[in-house]
Amino acid sequence: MLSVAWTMLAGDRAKCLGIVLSLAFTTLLITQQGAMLQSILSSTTSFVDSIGGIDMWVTDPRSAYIDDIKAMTDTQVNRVRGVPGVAWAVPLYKGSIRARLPDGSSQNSQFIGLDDATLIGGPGDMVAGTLADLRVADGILVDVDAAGGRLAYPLSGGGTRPLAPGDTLELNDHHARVMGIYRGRKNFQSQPVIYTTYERAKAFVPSERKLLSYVLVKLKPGADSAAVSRDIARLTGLKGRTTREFSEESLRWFIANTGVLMNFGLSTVIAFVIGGGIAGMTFHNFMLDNQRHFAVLRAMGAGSGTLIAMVALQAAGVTLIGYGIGIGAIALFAFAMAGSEITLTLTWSMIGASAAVVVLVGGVSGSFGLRRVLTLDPAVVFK
Amino acid sequence: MTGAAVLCRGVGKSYPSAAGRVQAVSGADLEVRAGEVMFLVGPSGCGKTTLISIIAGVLRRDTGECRILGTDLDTLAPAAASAFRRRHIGFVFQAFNLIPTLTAQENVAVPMLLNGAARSAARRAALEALEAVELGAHAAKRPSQLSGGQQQRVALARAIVHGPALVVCDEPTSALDHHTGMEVMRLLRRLAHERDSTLLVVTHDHRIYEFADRIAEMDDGRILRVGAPRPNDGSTVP
Ligand SMILES: Nc1ncnc2c1ncn2[C@@H]1O[C@H](COP(=O)(O)OP(=O)(O)OP(=O)(O)O)[C@@H](O)[C@H]1O
Ligand SMILES: [Mg+2]
Repeated sequence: MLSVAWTMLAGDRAKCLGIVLSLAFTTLLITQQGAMLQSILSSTTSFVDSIGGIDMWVTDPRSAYIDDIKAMTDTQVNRVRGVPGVAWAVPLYKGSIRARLPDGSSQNSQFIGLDDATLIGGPGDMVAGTLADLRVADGILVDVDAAGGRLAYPLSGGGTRPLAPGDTLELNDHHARVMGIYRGRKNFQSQPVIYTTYERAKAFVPSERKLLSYVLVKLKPGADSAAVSRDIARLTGLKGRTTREFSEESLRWFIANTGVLMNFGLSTVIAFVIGGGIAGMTFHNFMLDNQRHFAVLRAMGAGSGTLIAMVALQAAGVTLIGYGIGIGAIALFAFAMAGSEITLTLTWSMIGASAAVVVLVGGVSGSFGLRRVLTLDPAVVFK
Repeated sequence: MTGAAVLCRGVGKSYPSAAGRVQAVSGADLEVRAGEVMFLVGPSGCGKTTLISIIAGVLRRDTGECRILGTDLDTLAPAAASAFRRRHIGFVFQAFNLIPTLTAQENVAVPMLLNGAARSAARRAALEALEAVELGAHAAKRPSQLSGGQQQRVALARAIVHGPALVVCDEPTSALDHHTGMEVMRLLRRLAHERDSTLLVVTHDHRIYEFADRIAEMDDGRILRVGAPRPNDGSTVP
């Protein structure tokens, strides 16, 4: 009887297609919006998340989130080093700089200065050269996306080639030599990200009294991060946050102070309501059209179990196919968009969440249909 | 089978309506012998459909007694009543009630599948039944590709494919023209006879009375008379 159930539905091409496509559309939109949101949210904190090997970020107490940089004086690094529980502490500079290409065009870039001695906080995934090459005079590292894109080397005959070790850039009228290319995570502004050493960064940027953005801290084994935070506040007047706290606080700030969640949330809800609504209505229509046939089956002796299995199969069938088409389309979309400015992070949790939503739609319309079928009066068949 | 296929005594059934309850059937007595072709006739609204629904086990009676093949369906649990219907009763409806997205053969296979037959066996039996109603060549067509008479013949095949002891038909010819109706009745009678099925047919159509072994006349919710059809004039003898 399950094959009969499937033929009943699939035989009605228009309606079946309508249900499947609206479920596919729902899947597509929800997943796309969700993945986009997830990409944006994770890119806002990717700088904090990408630096491993440290336990704590120390900033000016007024700094509310990752990009809210309130510069400190260099002496603060030493003061943090003196706080009980701190194993070591290193400076990190983060700012922006104008990079000029040989053809005279310029490009705003993020500029990061790493502790000269340890290079802590540097990129881990080198495509060309090594992190240690930064110690060479005037050395910088450029991310591979920018090297092939915004900072690509202009050729004399027109066109460009990817920036490579040995090439030079003008950073704020200072001569800088590309020593390595690394692969980094996308940042929110999708600007080039250039690494150098802390002292060199200070030399490159217009001289200001305070340039220290963050102090990166490693705790002594067994030290309690909350206690160290309190001591940092008490002894230095600065604010210490674990990597996780800093990342979460930044994310919360971003969500609270931009419309991003609202916008994406709204369009996701709209996708759910419209797509799910159309799918549900079409399925409901299908059940209405077929209730006479279900009544006939019931009169002819189809048991409740059989009818439940039939409707469940119909609902599950369209849900699965619709979901499959939707996810297939989104995967194709993500594939086509890979490497462009629009990034779609398709995570399993996202795929699972949209599955849950679509199954909810299928389940709800299926159980409405089922209720209709189970409460049918078989006596209507003679009417 | 010997004895009564249907035995009803004092069956009553009322429906709720705006002006109190409508007594659709009130004290109907009916006996249908195993293997016979019994017609149930009477004016519109006299309760024929209500009575046949009770007999077919798709409607519960209020009062009286009713045994189908020796079983009182109202005493069965819903699952057992469903099982009884799919095993022992075949249905023919005025509106054919074929599933439009299934082919003729798939439609006819449904009662076999409901009874747990394997798909291949169900398809084979369905094809045989279609051949018995002279539609073997149309097995792969959908109802919309068939004429009304052909659709009703598919419905006949569906009603008898699983060899039910009792086939109930409500106005099987009223949606068909005279000639087609006669053709359908001829086939229906032959099939029932070949398969030892008892046939209970509700009809308005005088012209098909000749196919009945006996005719029960109903009015006002009661069976007034039961008799053999009188040749040529369509009325019953007392
Ligand atoms: N579901 C119902 N609710 C209320 N009244 C009903 C219902 N079904 C039938 N009736 C009433 O019960 C009476 C008998 O109806 P029934 O359908 O059994 O008659 P019938 O002999 O089959 O008529 P017809 O020849 O027109 O088909 C009628 O008065 C009808 O209006
Ligand atoms: Mg009727």
